[in-house]
Amino acid sequence: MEGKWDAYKKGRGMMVKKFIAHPYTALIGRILLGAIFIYAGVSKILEPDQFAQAVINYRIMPLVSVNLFAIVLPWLELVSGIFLLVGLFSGGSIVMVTVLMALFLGAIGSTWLRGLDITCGCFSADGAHKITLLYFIRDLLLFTLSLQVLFYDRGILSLDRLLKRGG
Amino acid sequence: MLKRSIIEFIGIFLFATILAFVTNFFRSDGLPLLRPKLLSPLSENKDSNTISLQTLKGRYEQPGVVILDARSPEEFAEGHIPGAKNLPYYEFSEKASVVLKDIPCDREIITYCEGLECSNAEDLAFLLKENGYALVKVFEGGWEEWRENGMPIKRGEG
Repeated sequence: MEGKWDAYKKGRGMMVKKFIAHPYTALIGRILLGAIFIYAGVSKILEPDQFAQAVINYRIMPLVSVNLFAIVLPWLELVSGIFLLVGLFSGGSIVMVTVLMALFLGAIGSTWLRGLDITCGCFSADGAHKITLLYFIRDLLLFTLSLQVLFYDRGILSLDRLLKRGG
Repeated sequence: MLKRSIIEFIGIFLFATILAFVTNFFRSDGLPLLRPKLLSPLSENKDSNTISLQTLKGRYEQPGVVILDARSPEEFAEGHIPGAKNLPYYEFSEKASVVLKDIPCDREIITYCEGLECSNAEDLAFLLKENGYALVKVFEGGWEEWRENGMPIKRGEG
């Protein structure tokens, strides 16, 4: 009986591992992350002032440098999101997305730990919502997804692969 | 593979940064590159929003004046202007309600940080203005100038 249970557990573990490492899982992750980053970037680009104010509220950088950050970050999100979605420069764009996710995770985590009563500023749609543990969990999931894509993406349905074949 | 990813990463960073600055330059609601001190409500008139050591010397012990130290609690404990309260800029949200509890909005407040190189005093003054304190001034020389001129020092948490 015990042997059967162990075999079942082992088999299930293998299935989970297979699912995580499967290139199609990475493809879905890549498309999902790309779409999320495009949406996040565009919503910030449309309202630069609002985003700059959201950055100020985090109180993690001197005021003088807030605008530089607020100008550049949305474009980093948009450009890496587009590249990720179409699979062009996939390696670099997933590294960028992972780095940004780590940055967001740190900012949200520190805000939550400090108990700041501020809005996230992550997307325009959640502008009115205060940062809670749920935001941290959401970013943690996205960060994990970015790591999955980083390690297991094999370039299915990507321009990179298409260009490689063409070249 | 790793090398290629790093090169692509740098390329994406540069491409997005250039795109960001160009777009920001041409759009009507673009942000100024640096949040200039001139744009903050604090510095519309620099002379009336800063205070010199000479003036502060005669004012810091007056009962109506509130002095706020924008540095960290550790730096504050090592030494501060006598009578100053500690309200670090980076802990404004957590500590403001306690530190500013008995300070009415029409009271004159003077902020300072380490010295000319730091911006926390001005940033704190900006937040105070946003929170309704109209008479906020920055002692730009800060702790450095105060100490170097042999002014009285208080140690501890205040």
